[in-house]
Amino acid sequence: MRLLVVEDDPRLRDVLRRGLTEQGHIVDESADGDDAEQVASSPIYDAIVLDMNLPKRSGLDVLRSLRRRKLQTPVLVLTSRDTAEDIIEGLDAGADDYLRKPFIFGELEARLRSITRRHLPADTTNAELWSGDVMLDLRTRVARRGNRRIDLTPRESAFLEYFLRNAGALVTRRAIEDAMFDRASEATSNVVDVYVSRLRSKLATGGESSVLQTVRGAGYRFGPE
Amino acid sequence: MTYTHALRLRLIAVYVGVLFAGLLCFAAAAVFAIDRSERSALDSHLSAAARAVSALLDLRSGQPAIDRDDRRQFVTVLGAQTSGLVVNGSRAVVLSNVSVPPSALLTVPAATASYLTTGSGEAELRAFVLPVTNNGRRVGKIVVWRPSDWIEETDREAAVAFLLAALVMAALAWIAGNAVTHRALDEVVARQRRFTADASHDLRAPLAVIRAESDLALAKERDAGSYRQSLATISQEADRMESLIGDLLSVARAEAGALEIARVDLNAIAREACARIAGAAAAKMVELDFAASGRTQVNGNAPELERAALAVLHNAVKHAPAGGRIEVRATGSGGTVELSVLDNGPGFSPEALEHGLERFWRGDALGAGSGLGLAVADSIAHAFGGKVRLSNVEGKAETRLIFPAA
Repeated sequence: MRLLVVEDDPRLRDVLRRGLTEQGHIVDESADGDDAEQVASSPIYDAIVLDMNLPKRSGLDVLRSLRRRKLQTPVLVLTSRDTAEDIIEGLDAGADDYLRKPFIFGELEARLRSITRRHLPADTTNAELWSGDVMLDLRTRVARRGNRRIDLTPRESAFLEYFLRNAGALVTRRAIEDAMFDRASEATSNVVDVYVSRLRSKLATGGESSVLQTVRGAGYRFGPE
Repeated sequence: MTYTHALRLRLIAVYVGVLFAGLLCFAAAAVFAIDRSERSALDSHLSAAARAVSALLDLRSGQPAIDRDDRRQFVTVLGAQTSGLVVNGSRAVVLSNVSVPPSALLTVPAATASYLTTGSGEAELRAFVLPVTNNGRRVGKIVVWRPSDWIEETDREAAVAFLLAALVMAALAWIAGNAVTHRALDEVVARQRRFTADASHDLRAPLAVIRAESDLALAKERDAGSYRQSLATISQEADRMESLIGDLLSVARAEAGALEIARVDLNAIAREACARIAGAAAAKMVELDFAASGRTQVNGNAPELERAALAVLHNAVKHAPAGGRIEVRATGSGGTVELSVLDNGPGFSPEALEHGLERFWRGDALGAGSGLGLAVADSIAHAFGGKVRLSNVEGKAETRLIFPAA
């Protein structure tokens, strides 16, 4: 998933980025309310982790402004204020969930999976993504095809996650670039092609049928031929 | 809010209760005084009347008697409200302005001049008995009396009036107390709540980093370098918590007045604080210039005063430009001792001048630090009868710690 982490404490922001990247997510960072509001306006994020206590503009303000502009990105609020009023205010402003600081990293990940699942078909669970006989366990980042275990790098598993979430649909290279590369790195469609072909060969070894199709001149589609 | 509500009600109830009890004591004393003065006025009237009657009497063959002119005088002397009678040695009524004198007064003994009260309720009478003597021998008596039930009536009326006044005053006190404590207490509670929220936020921030960093480090096998990196971060965050807790405790101790106070030299304390900040100042190429003049003895606690001085110096070093200069002056003159710290940074913003001493207030641009530094200095200064003043001198920020001289 491509995530935006909005947190003013540099050390917490750093550990969030490292942890979420390790889980195969693509993470952008923002350190204050003004910047966050600009960056978060883009619909490319699967979820936003938003601290409430931000310089320049409060997290609550940012959240309200995003929702006013009809942006549907799921938002997980991170807060060190935990009175019922604070929580109610945050949820009513448009947050999908909240997590109190200090938090357990595993819980943060589980809640992120939970708020992003809501946009997927009803039969998906929190922890697994399925399409045909291809499965990705979001907790352990282990992929399988039938009974065969597929070893993926974090980056490849992020690509697989993206394709599974958009299974059956045509995805353009541009959409993949937006979803898979953070603000700091330079994405080229060449890099996208390299990742896709590596993933394709890992998913279909031996006599297995191809599950990742190239749509000439347009992009890719995940699913049987 | 329910806690303040209950506290407020208790405060007001105690206050109004004490006020009401005080008013009742006052009322009781006033009624008692009125009663005493009425009775003594009545007694002196009775005794004057009796002595006037006595002056009218003649003695004929050893017995009290009166001539016709003096009979009229007798009625005039007594007046309309006072009754009187004269009895001779053989207990016959010689003179009276009432047709049927109360029998208790006819038989009352007259060994000496004396007052007595007879009857009760509406029939209560106050009487004065004066013996009539001839050559040292008792030959009769004069009795004068008046109804005295009205005194008790007056007492009752006064008591009722005082009680009503006390009730009105208690009600007014309740209303006024309610109005005054409402705002004051709510403000105190709101400030306290903000402080607690800020303190918990600032303690949770480093804790969140420690938690996340350790979770992440333990998530899987890593190389030694990344464990070392994680432990370094955790250790830094622990430092941050430690200094914040130290500041919070220092504020709490200063406000609880639990500090040992002795005569100390602010000059020496400031010199020590300068020595301790020198490293940080040097790292930023900031020049520290210290000078002292006058008698700089104050009553205080050396470690806490040093903490206050350090907090101010920290702030100055943080805001001084790289390669800048900080002037530190300890001066004693005219009953006060002052430690002034002047940095050549951009000066205090108008917001900083107004809020700089509030706990957890931070100037936005330099968001590091606990936000407690100057508030700590202020609490400590207050604990020793001093204060902190922020000002801009020719555009430069000046922080002054001002104490009464010891």
